[in-house]
Amino acid sequence: MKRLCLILPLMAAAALAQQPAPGGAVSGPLLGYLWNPDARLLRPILGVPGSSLLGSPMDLGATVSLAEVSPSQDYALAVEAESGAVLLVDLSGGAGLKPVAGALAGPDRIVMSPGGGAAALYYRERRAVQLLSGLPQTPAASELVNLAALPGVLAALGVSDRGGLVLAAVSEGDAGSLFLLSAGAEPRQIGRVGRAAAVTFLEDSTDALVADEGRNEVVLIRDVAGAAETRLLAGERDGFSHPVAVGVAGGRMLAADAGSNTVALLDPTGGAPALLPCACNVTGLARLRGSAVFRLTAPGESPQYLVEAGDGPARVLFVPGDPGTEATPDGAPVRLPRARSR
Amino acid sequence: MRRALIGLVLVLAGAVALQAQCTVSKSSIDFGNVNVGANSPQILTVSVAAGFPGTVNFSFQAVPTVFSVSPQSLIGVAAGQSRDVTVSFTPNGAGAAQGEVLVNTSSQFNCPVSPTNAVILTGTGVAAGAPFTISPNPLNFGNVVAGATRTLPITVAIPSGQNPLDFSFQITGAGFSTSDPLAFSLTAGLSQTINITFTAGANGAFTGALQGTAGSTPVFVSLQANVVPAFTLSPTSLALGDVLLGCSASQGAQVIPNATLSFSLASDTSFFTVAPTAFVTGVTQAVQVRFTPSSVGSTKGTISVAATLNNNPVLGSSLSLTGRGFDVVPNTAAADFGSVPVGGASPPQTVTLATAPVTAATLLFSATSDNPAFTVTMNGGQAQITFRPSAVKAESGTITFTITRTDQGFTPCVVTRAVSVRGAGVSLGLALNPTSVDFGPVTLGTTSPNKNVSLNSTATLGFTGTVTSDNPAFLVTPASFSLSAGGAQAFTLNFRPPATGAASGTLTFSLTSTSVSAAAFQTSLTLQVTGTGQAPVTLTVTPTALDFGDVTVGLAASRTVTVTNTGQAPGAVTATPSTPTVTVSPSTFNLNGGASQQVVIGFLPATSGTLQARVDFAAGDTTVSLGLAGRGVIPTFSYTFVAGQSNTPVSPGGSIGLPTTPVGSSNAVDFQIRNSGTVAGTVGRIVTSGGTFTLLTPPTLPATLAPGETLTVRVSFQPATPGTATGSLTVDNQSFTLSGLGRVRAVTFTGAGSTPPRTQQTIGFQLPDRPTTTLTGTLTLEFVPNALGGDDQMIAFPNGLRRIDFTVPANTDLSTFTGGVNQIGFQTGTVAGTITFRLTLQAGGVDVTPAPAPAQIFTVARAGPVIVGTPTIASRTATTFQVVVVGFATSREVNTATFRFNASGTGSLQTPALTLNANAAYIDFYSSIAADPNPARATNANLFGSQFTMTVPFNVTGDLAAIRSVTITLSNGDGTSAAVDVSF
Repeated sequence: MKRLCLILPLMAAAALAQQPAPGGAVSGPLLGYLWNPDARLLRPILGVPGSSLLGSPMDLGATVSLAEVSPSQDYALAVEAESGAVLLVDLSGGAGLKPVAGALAGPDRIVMSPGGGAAALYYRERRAVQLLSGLPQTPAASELVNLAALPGVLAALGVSDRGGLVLAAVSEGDAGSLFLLSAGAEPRQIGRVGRAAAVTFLEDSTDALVADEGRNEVVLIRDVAGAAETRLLAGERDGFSHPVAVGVAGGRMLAADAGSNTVALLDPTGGAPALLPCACNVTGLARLRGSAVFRLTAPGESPQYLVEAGDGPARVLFVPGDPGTEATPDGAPVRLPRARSR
Repeated sequence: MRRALIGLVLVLAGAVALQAQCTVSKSSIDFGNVNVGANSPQILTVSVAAGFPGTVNFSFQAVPTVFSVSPQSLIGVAAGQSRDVTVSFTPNGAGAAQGEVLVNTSSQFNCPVSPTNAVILTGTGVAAGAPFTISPNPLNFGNVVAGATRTLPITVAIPSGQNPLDFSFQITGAGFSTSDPLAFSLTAGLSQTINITFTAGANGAFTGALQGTAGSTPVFVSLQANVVPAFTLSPTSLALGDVLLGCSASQGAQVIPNATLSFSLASDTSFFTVAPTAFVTGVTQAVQVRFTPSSVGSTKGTISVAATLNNNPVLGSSLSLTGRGFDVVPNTAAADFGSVPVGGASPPQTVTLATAPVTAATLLFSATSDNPAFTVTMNGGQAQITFRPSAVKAESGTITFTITRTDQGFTPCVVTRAVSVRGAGVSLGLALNPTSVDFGPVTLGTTSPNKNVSLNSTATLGFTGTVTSDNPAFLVTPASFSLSAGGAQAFTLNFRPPATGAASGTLTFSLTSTSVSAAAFQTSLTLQVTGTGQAPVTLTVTPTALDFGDVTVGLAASRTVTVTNTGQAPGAVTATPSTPTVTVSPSTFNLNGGASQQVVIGFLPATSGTLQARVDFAAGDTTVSLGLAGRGVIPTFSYTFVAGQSNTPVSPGGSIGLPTTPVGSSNAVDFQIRNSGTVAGTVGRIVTSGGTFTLLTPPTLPATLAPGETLTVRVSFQPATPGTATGSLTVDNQSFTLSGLGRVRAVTFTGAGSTPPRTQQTIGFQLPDRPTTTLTGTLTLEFVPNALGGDDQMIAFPNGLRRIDFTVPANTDLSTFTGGVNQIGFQTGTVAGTITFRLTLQAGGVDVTPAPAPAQIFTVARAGPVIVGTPTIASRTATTFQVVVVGFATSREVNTATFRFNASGTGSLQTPALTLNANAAYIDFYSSIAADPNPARATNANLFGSQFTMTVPFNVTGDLAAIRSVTITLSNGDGTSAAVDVSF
């Protein structure tokens, strides 16, 4: 990090005075992080959309079996492999690892809210969900929400930014249901689906998107805690044959279809979505920094593919594959040093 | 209140009225309706007021006489007393009556009757009996056949003298209905008919009701009906049994009606018929069903029985039928006895008649023949047929079988079946094959080739025989023989001519029958034989000797001679040279007597030296020889190919390399053939193989080269596809290998037209030709920065490298990269400089890259800083905040950062703008190639190109809400970024 040398002009008296403070810096931009569950590695994606590359794996200071990076890429929730403890990993250059107080050990799945302020920890054997709020600064864990009464198997989870709402999609064969969960309340069925592949709330909203791979459609559910009105946003009419993911960022709603390897920019009014083909195997929508930037491909794929759907025309971009080493100008390989750990 | 007020008025009225002394309780009496002859008494009370000074006598008189009062007088009614009298109305006829009771008083004091002394009487005499009638009740429809309807009336009436009434009804119960009104009014003496209709549905009892009111009196009429089937069948199914085709069987059934019905009967198949098919009856009717099968096998049918009642269809029924047709079938339709010698008899043939399908039936069989040549005998269902021809001719006929079924219970029935028969009466059947023999020309002193003759027998008798020849020149073996019945005997014939000219003879075959059971036959056959004797073959050759002179080794010389047959017999001539260097063509040929043949004698010396040889012409026992002479001589050639100034000798079997040539172009070398020997030599053939190698201006051949003389040919190489090409050059019997390398002639890069920074472009290439083999190669990317610092590692292909392999599949002209795409993407990075693409091409591992190697150069220009996305406000407190700006500067130079604060209107800003001198910080950043341990703070400029994240913290005095937004611009020596607002 390079310190800025600041000019401090003397200003005339005014009601508000502001001046640069010490501590300004220049560094390299980060597009985000990529957690590879197979290799159990967390790697930074350096740069900005259109000009980026994969950085060397990070040493988290602990052996991690599961991790989920926040949408803003400033922290991650991780599960320590040996103890199952739920850890909060500071990715903003802060205090490194710290356990999340009150979080039950050994979750099998971590789902972040679209804004990253809340998360749901899913425990498969217990058939239960624990909600985390106040992330990342003041994490607080809720009581377990028992899912034992839900039929079938859990297919997808979505967590709201506010209100502590969890939308659980369960499936029984090709039929499924959506249940609204919240701490201290019985699960409440709010609708029927085919086989949900992904669920997400909209940012700061009680509206939710559901990717239904059973019916090959993506639906928007308005006010899941109330009327729960459903609107079809994309389906087979749009060439969808295997929707696998939904994502929201900056008011944009996207869906990924693994059947057609396309990304759809959804129209919340139900109009035809704008489709972006990708010469890749689309497997999901993982939020990265930037204006509605998502990773489309599986963590182990090389190269990685992104979609940038924010300001300006939407475009599909790649992140060059991992050549194995990162060459210095003189050709010698170099690895990023270990990150600071506890 | 209202009532209280009225009472008050009455009190006041009473205060001013005189009080009556004698009173009657009623001023009028209405008796209402009173039956004629009946009495309807009512009470009338008379009173004498208290205080009346005396007693009162009352008398009563009722008029007219239908009214009466009792008692008619009251005596001594005291003051304050009341007494009752009875007033009666006894009508003597129907109708209204009116009268009165006159009340008179007598007393010593006047006591007028108040309120009246004439009480008005009214009443109506009504006739006695029921007020209305409904009949019949219950209404019973009795038995109604299914499907029929029956209508019965119900009459509603009001007897005379009764009061008018309003009637209202409804009908309940399945099947009961009416079309008549169910609500009406009647007066005395009138009636109304309601026709109730019952429609019979399913069998069984049905009940209903006509119910309602007459005035206020409930009315209920029970409706009853019983539905019975219109008719029944007995039985409902018939089994007609097994019936022989051509016969029939019948059975009876009964139609049992429950009413007089019109019936019609119909069968659904022609196999079954019924009679009668129509009748009208109310009693049991018998019908006959007949089964007449027209094919074998089980058959089902149905007789539909329909009926109408009063022209209305009723529920029908059906009679199920089964039966099976069977046939008596001969096991063959025809019998062929073949050929039988006249006077003999054929083996008998058996024809079996059997039932099909197998049926237990009692059948009698008999048979007759319409041709006496065929006789038949019957044994049960088996017939024995024998053919005895009486003449040599074809015979045919028909055996007719008569079958009579005699089973009890079936009508006797006779049918016939036929089998056609045929045969042929034939002779003994001896014949010679062939019937004559011609040996043709046969050379004197020789025996002709064998001729074969066969004596064939188709007879049923065996024979012995002998053969004799009337001309000793014609020979036959064997001379005696045995010929079995139907057998054959082969004979060998030869002709040995005793002299030239034609000869003929007759061979006689004499045969005697060897049959024991039949009378002996004797017969003979003759065979004519002919042949011609001719003189033997004799050969001559002209000339009788040849001299080829000097002939170059390896080259052929030839001469022609004439061979003649001076004899009469044709000869097969074989020419045999005494040495393999001499050839004869044709080497074998036939010569007829007196004919000649031109024969070519070739000499092909393999080595140098003198030829002393001959050719022998032989035919039969005759041989004539041709003497040969000559000399083989050897020329000496040497070979050289000339490429430019280079002369390279090459030996036969060696290689000649042609210059590497772009596809579509050509190069050539000279190939020189020099006679380096001491004698003249001839070059007869120069050819190339391999389509890319050709001879330019081929010489006229053969070409004779004197010693020291040179023949030059030009060999051209024009590759059609990149890669190594091989061929051959052949000079007479010497061969040389030709080889050359075809190079790709040019490459045209496709894809990106420019490389703006921070973009992803594509690049590929196209060849001017389509190679016939797959090319492989590598596309490389080089980057030379034109900015501070070193490399930009983000300039790379998708594989993360700056080299990527490709192919150009055979018969295509476009580059193909991983994933089958023709163009590959690359990141342009964010650093000013030059991006150069180069490629190499291989065909089969050989470099076929065009020369010079193709390259595509792009330039990333130096420019002012660019802010990517929208900056953010971070770490905001009441007195501090940070502005985070992400961007890049292709020159790796950022000199100043300007922050212009925009007031929100809630206060004024003391510092509306700030400009930071960022130059040193950025130089420091861009000069770094070491990475921070935390990737969030990594500063390796090579990794990030010119990208940066600039974080500027601010301290604030006052209310932060006074700032609405901040506008940021960055500048360097090449320009200034677009201004970007970030809102608070």
